[in-house]
Order: sequence, then structure tokens, then C-alpha cells
Amino acid sequence: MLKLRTIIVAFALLSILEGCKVDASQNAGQKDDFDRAAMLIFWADEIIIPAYQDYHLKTKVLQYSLADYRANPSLSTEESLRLAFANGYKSWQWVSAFAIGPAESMSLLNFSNIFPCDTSELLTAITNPNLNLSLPSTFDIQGWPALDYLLYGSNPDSAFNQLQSDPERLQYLQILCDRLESLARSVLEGWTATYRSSFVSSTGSGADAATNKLINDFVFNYEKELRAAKIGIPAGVFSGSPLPSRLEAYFSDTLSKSLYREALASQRAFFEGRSFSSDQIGPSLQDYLDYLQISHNGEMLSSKIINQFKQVETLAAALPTSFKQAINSNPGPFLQSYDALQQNVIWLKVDMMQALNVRVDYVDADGD
Amino acid sequence: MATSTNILQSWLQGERSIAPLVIFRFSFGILMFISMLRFWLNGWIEKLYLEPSFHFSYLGFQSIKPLGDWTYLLFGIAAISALGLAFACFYRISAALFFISFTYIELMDKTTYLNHYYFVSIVAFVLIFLPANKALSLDAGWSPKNLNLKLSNAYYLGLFGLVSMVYFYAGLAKINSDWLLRAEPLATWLPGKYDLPIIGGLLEQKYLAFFFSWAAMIYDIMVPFLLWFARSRPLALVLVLIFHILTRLLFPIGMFPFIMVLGAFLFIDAGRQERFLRRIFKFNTEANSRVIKVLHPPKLLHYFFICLLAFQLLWPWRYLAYPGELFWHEQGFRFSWRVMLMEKAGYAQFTIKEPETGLQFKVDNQQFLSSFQEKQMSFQPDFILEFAHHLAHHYQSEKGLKNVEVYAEVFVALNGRPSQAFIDPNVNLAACERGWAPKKWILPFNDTIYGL
Repeated sequence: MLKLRTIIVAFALLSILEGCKVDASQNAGQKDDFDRAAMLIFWADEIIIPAYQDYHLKTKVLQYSLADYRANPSLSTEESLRLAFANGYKSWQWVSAFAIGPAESMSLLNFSNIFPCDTSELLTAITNPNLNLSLPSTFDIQGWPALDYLLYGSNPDSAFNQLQSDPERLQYLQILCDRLESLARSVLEGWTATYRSSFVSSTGSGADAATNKLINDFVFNYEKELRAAKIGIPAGVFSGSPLPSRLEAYFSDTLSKSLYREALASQRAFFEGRSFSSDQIGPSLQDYLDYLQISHNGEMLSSKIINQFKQVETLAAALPTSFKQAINSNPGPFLQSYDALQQNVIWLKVDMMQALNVRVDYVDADGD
Repeated sequence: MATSTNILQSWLQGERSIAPLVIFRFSFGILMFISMLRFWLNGWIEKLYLEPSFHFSYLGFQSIKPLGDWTYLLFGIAAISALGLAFACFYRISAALFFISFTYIELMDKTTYLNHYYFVSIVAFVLIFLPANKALSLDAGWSPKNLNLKLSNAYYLGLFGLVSMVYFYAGLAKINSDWLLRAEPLATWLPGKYDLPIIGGLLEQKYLAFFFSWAAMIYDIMVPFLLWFARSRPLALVLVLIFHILTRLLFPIGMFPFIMVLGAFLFIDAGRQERFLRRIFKFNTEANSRVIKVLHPPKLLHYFFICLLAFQLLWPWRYLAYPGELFWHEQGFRFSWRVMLMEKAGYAQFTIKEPETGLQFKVDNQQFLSSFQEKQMSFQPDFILEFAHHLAHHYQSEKGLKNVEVYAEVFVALNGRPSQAFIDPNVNLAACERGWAPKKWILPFNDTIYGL
């Protein structure tokens, strides 16, 4: 017969298990047949860290180009500075989704690419010697959007004249470039020094586990940065009429399109597991979905997603070179791009997240 | 029918020690106290009730909203009255206060709806009317001598009935083709728990999902019966413990396993529970064991329990009045002990139109909703409608648009099926009324789920 005491002991056991559960979900090194650990290692070593290395390199080049320009202002140093800016901004598109670990704790995204730049705020900031750029209130007067304004401005032909005639302005440009470089360096060092090892060993299934967090970041980036910020908002999807001033790289004009295409390529590469630095293809979300045999009416979900990526890329290639000019007069193709992007939000956020059992929030669910 | 009424009649005339009720009262109160504390410490008061600017309300309870910073006081009242319940200090007032504050909390925002919160509310309501403070209570000087008290079984009818109903209906709801023939949603959920010690590696096996599905269905249906009869009770209790420990390990279901285990403990032989309390409180002499008296409930309480249980028995079947697949349209889904039956996710995109000017734009949901609210809203039609009305109101009264129309493009995936369109995108939701009538703007489900 069951003694009441036995039951109380069991109940206590239930309470203890409650405590252990947390540890269990953080247990490292355990695998299912789909090797999440291998996927995390590939993501870290072949995608994320190389992308940050490249990004950091590009910010260094930006610094050198600025030094060259300051030492010898000329048409050619101006052009290499602008080129370094464009290359750095493009490289940014390959790291922006990885808002995890050091990038998350340093708010890399907020300090690097909040647009549109608040230009009037920026112009006051230039003259403020006590400006503290680590405050959240300064998100929109620094990073790439602020460089975009300083290097092109409302009139690209006179931007460099303004820099030359205003030492404070030039100094501010220097501060911003140094800051981009130091942020990139800190994040990269954070990854190589300590975070890489905790990332690849965090193979658990809890909401805080690396796989879950990174998938969340990836989908968030697709939905908010790519679909909404780059296309939806400027095309007027959320306002009823186009808002060209909300474009990424608004001042440098033709750069908007390149950045959008870079971001698309980086998103697809991550989904397909393409190495950043070599031709290698490794374990990926695509493989994970295929491993779980997620298909819709005979077609693999992963190939539906990839085909949709391809369609979005085709539409992107056909967009006019100057988003700024076209988006007002003929927003149709942009809205079409938005709809194509939207389709993949559903497949990524609803179908893929459900299949991979990725949890977003830590809140109690129902029990029976 | 006549014989079962007779059995019930004779059971109601029986009596048992007050001990099970005292133990239940105490542990339930403590558990609720911890539960309130846990909610607070997890930052959920802030996250669920204070941060969002908009809250989803139950039909008929639209005026019940979070109280700003006073919400903390509300939780404080619930926590303290839970302690009052545990120690039976101003018992009836404590029980009533706990019932009111807890229920108020649940009504503030239906995003947080959970079946077991509903269960807690009903249990608290029933406790108000039970003489659980007649022994080992601060009200009665914490004296063990009233352990001699016996209660008519009629007093136990409410709680026994409720616990049995929860299990039985949860079991019935599992009799459907998704649960039994596709092992969904367990087949989706279990592989994600591969990192559990020992059993982790097995969880990816499809047969395990099938085994768990069938076992859970049979368990839920059988357990109330096994608990009622003395001979099968030990087996039932072992099963209850195994089952709830497992679910606690596998799913993020908070306090629920603890509540149900307490509910099952109620059924343990009353004499045994009484002897347990006597040992603890050193109240064990022969002289003290003679019966002082038996408490009988007033007639009115009989009727109250019978009405309550009859309502519980009938209410879950209201879904039959709605055409279409219940899991899809969810009309009549809540308050029916349908638990863990669905893995459902959606994506909703709303379009605002002002017909006179031709203005048209889409809405960024997160401007209005927390990510948790957005997630819950995206697959539940009543949420979608309420949010659409909120949008219409917002753009009319705050942005000055006229005759705003609201359209929704929603895609939902259910139990591992591909996502499909959920809401008729051509229906102006601003013009649809909230209510009990079938929601015709929900698009039909592309598949069929057989069963209850």
C-alpha cells in the first residue's frame, strides 16, 4: 500500500526535479540525430566569425581611407573614402542578423545602423564637445546612416567642401569611423576570446539556447530589417504613401539597392549554410528542415523557402538603380518585392519555427 | 440511470474525516502563494500587464483591465489571501478575496488564458463554501482537537467532481485523429527536448510520441475512476505522479502538475490522512479519537454543487453548435479542459483602408502589442477581431481617419500542417460584431480532423 509519506517524498521529488529541469536544458554536449552541435560550430567558424572578421577589416580600411583623405584631400582620396564607406556598409549586411552574444550585449545594431539619421540632431551634436555616443539617445546620429549623411549630405557635390570648411564636422566623421571600428573589434574579440566556446556548446533546447536565439534573430532580421526597414517602410506599406527619406543609405542614393541585395544574399546564405569565407556548404536550417522531412504537398518546405528567396532576388535585381527617385514615382515594383518578401516571413516564422519547435517567449503554456 | 443516482445518493449520505480537506486547503493555499510570488519574481506582472498598451478582454468583461501600478497590489492581495487560506485565518474572507483577486487577474487579459488558471478560480470559489477552517486553523486557535470532526461526503462532492471532470474531459478531447493517429502535437514537441537526461535520445522516435499520446488519453479518461475506488487508488496515485513529473519535465507548464497532484491527493483514504495529521500534531490518544460530530452541508449547498457540476459537464460541448473544425476556429475551445492539443502558430497582417480618400496602409502589430500578445493573436479569431476593432478605433479617434475599414491577411499552421489562409481577406473586420454567433469570416480548414 502506498504510504502518505511516500507520496510526500514523491511530491518533494517533483519539486526538486523542477529545480533540475533548468540545469537539464542547459546541459551541454548532448545531441539528437541531427547534429545541432555541428551546425553551431559551422555557423560560428564558417559564417559568423569570418563575417565579423571581414566587417572589422572593412571598418579598418575605412579608418585608413579617412586618414589618407585627411592627409591629402583630393578627388581620388575622396572617392576611396566613399568606396570604403560603401564596402563597409555592404559588409555590415552580413553580420547584422547575428545579434547574439557580444553583439547583443553591446547593442551593435543600435549603434551601427539605425536609420533614418536625425540630421538636425546630428548637426547640433557636432558642436557638442561633451557628446556621449554610448547613450541610446544617440542611436540615430551615428553609425553608417550618419556617415551616409556626412559623406553625401543633401548635396553630394558639396559634401566634401563642407567637411573641409568645418573642422568639427571632419572631427565628428573621425569619431564615428573610429567608433564603428572599435565596436566591430570588440564584438569580434568577444567571439574569438570567449563567446565562441559558449555558443557552440549551447546545444540545449531552452529559450536561451544558442540555436533558438540565433533562429529568432535570423527571422527577426528578415522580418524587421530586410522586409520592413529596407523595403516596406520606404515604399509606404505602413503609411499609405512612399517615404523615400526612410530608405537605408538615402543620401548616397544608389547604394540602397546594393545594400538590399547584399542583405538578401546573406540571409539566403545563412539559410542554406554557405560558408562566408570558402565554397564550403555545411549543416544549415535547410538541412535541419529536410532532416525533419518537413514537406508541403510533396514539396520540401526548405525548397519552397529557397525558391521564394530566388524570386525575391530576381525582383530585387530588376528594381531601378535609384530607389530614392523611383520609389515615389513608381512604388509598384517595391510593393511587389514587399509581397514576395512577405511570403517567406510566413514560411520562416510560422512553418519553419513550428517545425523546428523554436520558442520565443518564456511564459507558461497549458498542461494536462 | 436510476441505479447511478442511487449510488450517488448513498455516497452523499456517507461521511469522512475533515483531514483531506484540511490538507488540501493548506497545500493549495501555499501553492497559490508560491505561484503569485513566482509570477512577480519572473517579472511577468510588468511584462504581461503593465508594458502592453492594449489588452485582450473576454466578452462581457471588457471593463476589467490591468490597474497600472495598482496591479502589484492586486497580486499582493492574492498572495496574502492565499496564505490566509492556507492557515485558515479569517478563512471565508481570505477565500473570497483570493477568488476575487485571482479571477480579476485572469480576466484582465485573455492572452494569458490557461485552463489551470480557470481551474484554480473554480476551486477557490468552491472553497469559500467549505468548512475547511474547522480544524487546524488560526480561526480555531490552531488546535488539532477538531481533527475528530467528520464531514458529510456532500461537502467533498464539489472538489472530487471538479478534479474528475478535468481529467475525464481532457481525456475525451484527446480522442481525435490528430492526437491518436498522427501523434500530433507531441511528435512536433518531443524531438525539441532531446537534451533531457536519459530519455532525451528517445524523444525523437515517432513510436514514443504515439505511445505518449495513447497513454495520456487512456490515463486521463481512467484516472478519475481509479481514484474513486479504494482498490485501484494506489495504482492511480502512482500514475498521477509519473504522469505529472513527466509533463513537468517535457513542457513549460508552470504550476499545473502541482495543482493536479494536490487534487489527486484529496482522494487518498480519509482515515489515513487523519492519522497522518494526528501523528504530526501528536494527537493520537484513544480518548481523543471518538467522534465529536458530523457536519452536514445546508440543502442549498447541495444544489449549488449539483448546478456547478452540471454546468461543467455541459459547457464543454457548446462547440457542437459551431460548424467547422473546432481546432481551427476555436469557437468553444476555452473553458473546456482542452489542453496541449494543438501546436498552432500564425502570422497576421492588417490593412487599414479609408474608402473616401483611398488611403491604404498596413499595420506594424508591434506598435500596439507585445510579442507574446502578437503571437497569441495571430491564430485566434476572437483576438484578431478584437484587435481589428482596436485598430479601427485607434485610427478613427486618434488619427482622425473616417469610416476606417480593417482587413486581415492571416496564415495559420496547425499541428505540423502547411500554413494556410485563415481569415477572409475581403471582409471588413471593423464591421463584424463581437459575439457568440459563428464567425463566418474564418476560412474553412483544408483538412479534416476526426473525433471529439
